[in-house]
Amino acid sequence: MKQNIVVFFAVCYCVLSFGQTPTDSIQFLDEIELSDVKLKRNAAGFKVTVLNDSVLNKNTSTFTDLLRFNSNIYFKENGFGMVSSPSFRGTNASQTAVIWNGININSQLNGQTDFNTINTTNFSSVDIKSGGGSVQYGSGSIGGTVHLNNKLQFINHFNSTARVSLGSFNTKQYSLSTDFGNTNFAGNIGVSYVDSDNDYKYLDTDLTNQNGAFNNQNINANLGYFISDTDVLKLYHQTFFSDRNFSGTLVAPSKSGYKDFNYRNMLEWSHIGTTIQSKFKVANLHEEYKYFENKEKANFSFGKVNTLVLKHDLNYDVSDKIALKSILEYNTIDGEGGSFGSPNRQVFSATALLQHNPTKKITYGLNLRKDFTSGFTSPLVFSVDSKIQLTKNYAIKINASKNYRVPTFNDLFWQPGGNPDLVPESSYQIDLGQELNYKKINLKLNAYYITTSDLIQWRPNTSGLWSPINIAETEHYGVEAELGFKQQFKNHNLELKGLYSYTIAEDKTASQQLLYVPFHKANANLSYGYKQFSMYYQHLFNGEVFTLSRDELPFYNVSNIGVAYNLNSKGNTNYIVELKVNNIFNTYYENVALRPMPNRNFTIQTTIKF
Amino acid sequence: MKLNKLAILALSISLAFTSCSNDDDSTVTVEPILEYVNGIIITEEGNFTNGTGAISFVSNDLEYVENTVFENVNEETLGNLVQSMAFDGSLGYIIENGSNALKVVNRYTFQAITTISSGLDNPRYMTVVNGKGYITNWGDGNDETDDYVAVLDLNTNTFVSQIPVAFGPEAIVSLNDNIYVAHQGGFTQNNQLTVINAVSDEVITTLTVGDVPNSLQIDESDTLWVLCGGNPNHTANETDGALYKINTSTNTITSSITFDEGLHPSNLYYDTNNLYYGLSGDVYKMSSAESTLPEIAEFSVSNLYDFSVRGNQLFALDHNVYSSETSYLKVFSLDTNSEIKSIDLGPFAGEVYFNN
Repeated sequence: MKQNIVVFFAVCYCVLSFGQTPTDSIQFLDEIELSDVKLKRNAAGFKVTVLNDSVLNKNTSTFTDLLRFNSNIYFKENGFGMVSSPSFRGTNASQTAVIWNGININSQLNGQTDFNTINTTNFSSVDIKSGGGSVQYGSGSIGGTVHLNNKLQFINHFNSTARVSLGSFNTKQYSLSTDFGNTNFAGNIGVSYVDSDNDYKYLDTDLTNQNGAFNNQNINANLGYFISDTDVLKLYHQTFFSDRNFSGTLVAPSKSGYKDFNYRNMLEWSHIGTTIQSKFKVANLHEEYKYFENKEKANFSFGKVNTLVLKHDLNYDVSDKIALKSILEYNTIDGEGGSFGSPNRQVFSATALLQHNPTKKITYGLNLRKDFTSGFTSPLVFSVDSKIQLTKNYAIKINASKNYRVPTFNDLFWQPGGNPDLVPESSYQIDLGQELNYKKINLKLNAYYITTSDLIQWRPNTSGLWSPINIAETEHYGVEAELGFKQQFKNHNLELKGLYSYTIAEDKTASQQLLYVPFHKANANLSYGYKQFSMYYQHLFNGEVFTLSRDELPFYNVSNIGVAYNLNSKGNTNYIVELKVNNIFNTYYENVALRPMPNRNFTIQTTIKF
Repeated sequence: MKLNKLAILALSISLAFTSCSNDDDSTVTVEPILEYVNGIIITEEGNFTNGTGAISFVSNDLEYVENTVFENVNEETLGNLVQSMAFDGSLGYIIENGSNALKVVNRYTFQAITTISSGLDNPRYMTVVNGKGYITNWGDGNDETDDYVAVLDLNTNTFVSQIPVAFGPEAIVSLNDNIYVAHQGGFTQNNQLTVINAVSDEVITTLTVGDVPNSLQIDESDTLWVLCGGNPNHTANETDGALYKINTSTNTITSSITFDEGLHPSNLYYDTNNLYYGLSGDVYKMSSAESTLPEIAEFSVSNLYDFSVRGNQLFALDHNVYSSETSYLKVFSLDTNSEIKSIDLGPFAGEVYFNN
């Protein structure tokens, strides 16, 4: 019977994958540059935060680090670089969807994205949309969605970037990318490699982070071509390999290893008419993992999934005030694994979106989606959102939605324990936002309430076997504040961004804060530039969280700093040297119980742009 | 709380949240009693990856309860996945499965004596014979060739030998110079029973019993009882559970009783002429003289994990289906088959021992 614990332990390790997506921006050419226009056109009442490449450049070693220092999302990281799962507005790891160029890439096996299996080096931007997004992005879009975007620029250009960075714990990062185009043709190709021994010392102990080494390789290649004045073909590709050991804890050694292999391809044909725009996408997503209980041995367990996506978006501008959009999507998903056989799932979904601007100052959207999934019934979901520009400087954004998460292949078919009778989790939420733009200041305030029922959790059953059931109900409410400030004075540039979130996330029956959800989280980023010199300071405050048995894991403050100098800004070739110091105050902290995070560490980075 | 919620929604602009609810400071610090006698010891596995195990103590009259005893006494936590305990004289041996370690304590004060952290690989259970501790080790749970019984000299706390055994050694008991190891089978299944001689520390014989032998008990007449769960139905090869009776003077199988199809019993316990076992959350009782299985359960424990019996009381560990944060010790009267008391324990209580 005790064996079940051990088997469950293995289940916990199953699968992580992820992806990325696009969205963003401000540009006139959005329609052409972006593969996910919905984020801009159908999200007026939602808060969207954009992390551009200058932000991405500051936290390059893991995606988790990028987001914990630059967003409201809290991460539970099983040791630096190890499995990392998000909690967005207090929701669980399966309730944040990651969207790669418009396609949801959460794992079909565990419903999550492991944020340490995404390398952001070759994305143009990362957008974070807070609040429910199941209507547009499907299962798991409950707390919010994280979009990974590749932008194609149809102007004459040819730029390349090479970067080498070397750091503590024998950490090496190399990347090379090139971005090119003319008015008809555009592309970008990037490769990157990260390798770290990750054997940092646990402060105040004689121990080091044992068995924590990791490396990953990432290739992005995206091409676009105008086949006529109104038609564009685009091809997106990403491949990601990672080889990690899973680190031990303060009390338990580890010898396990984990390999991820993911790739995704998408071909997109866009037709851009004056009143009708259509977009047809064919995508193939592949996720695969191998778990080695003992990395020295050949035995492993595995799982893999192939997903084929066919998607058609049709946008019709009825007038300059009303736009109608339909989305038809068909997915066929084939899994294979040592512990769950060869499951297959088909999903067809139909979505209708209405966007109306009755006046210049008011925009609202009404959105409906229905999924037809083999094996069970998915709920009809909706969202309504509105943006009201009350004054030139002040806008109100409001949205309400119903969202869902379908049971994963692991939940349904894992042997032993899988439960084929599960139903989807369903969730309602409301979100009220305010945005104030006054001179150099940008302030966003949001308050939300989320209630989720039929949450799927793995529990011991009467035979002592772990099995998932639709058991829990949670509610989440809280506030988020985001303050941005920019000042330019002669050659001085100053930019400040601060984020704060207060989160209550409770199990309805216990009326207690959920485990691993901090009440308070705040971060601040200060950047300063003067001519060829630039520097930044990052600070993260992570409030205390409850761990199993309701112990409290104390709050912590961590700070990073970086300075950079551009050695040759005038010529065609720029050399930028940069020194980064993470955890400058050498703070001992644990993000997850018994797993100390890195002490002070250094990185020297050289970037050549040509 | 509802009001609070509405207030937050309405007042989003006034960020007057300087303090948060502090309503969870309910963890009462218990002053350790430093004398853990005449009571029940429960080992708690704790959380899988990021947790520590614990020990709870409950007095025989069920009035005094102390959780996290080891931590209270020693001001340090136990290791990861506390699987089981063994006792020898005044010493207690705590097996930390996830930490691959063995903690030696005074069983009556729980003061730490030493930690043995090499020589073990996925340790499970221990028995003591002639001043030596025998500890079953799975090695890697999927590797069928790296399993062994580690032999620890209890005077020097050093390992003197490793006895290679069949795949998945789990329960271990001893009688005189014979040691019996049930091979439940790691992450998968096995059907072996190994007999080891405690003088030569060598395997004498290996018997094939039913599939998944999960518990061993020796009765007053020196009969060894082996409860086999059978292969569970998620394996392609489901088999029936069985109760085997072994003659310990000849180390041969005397007889066996097969369970009905689809039934997978576990947790055999023997106490004064009666055998008890668990089946799908129910507790069954049969006389050890009986040759047929009982048809009716004595009573039911919702998420029964393990139990022990003493006299007319049965001490069951029940895992809370709603939360991983607690589990329960449920004490049943065997006279009335009714629950006497339910006591809150830490996460994933695993084994019950009597400490008198």
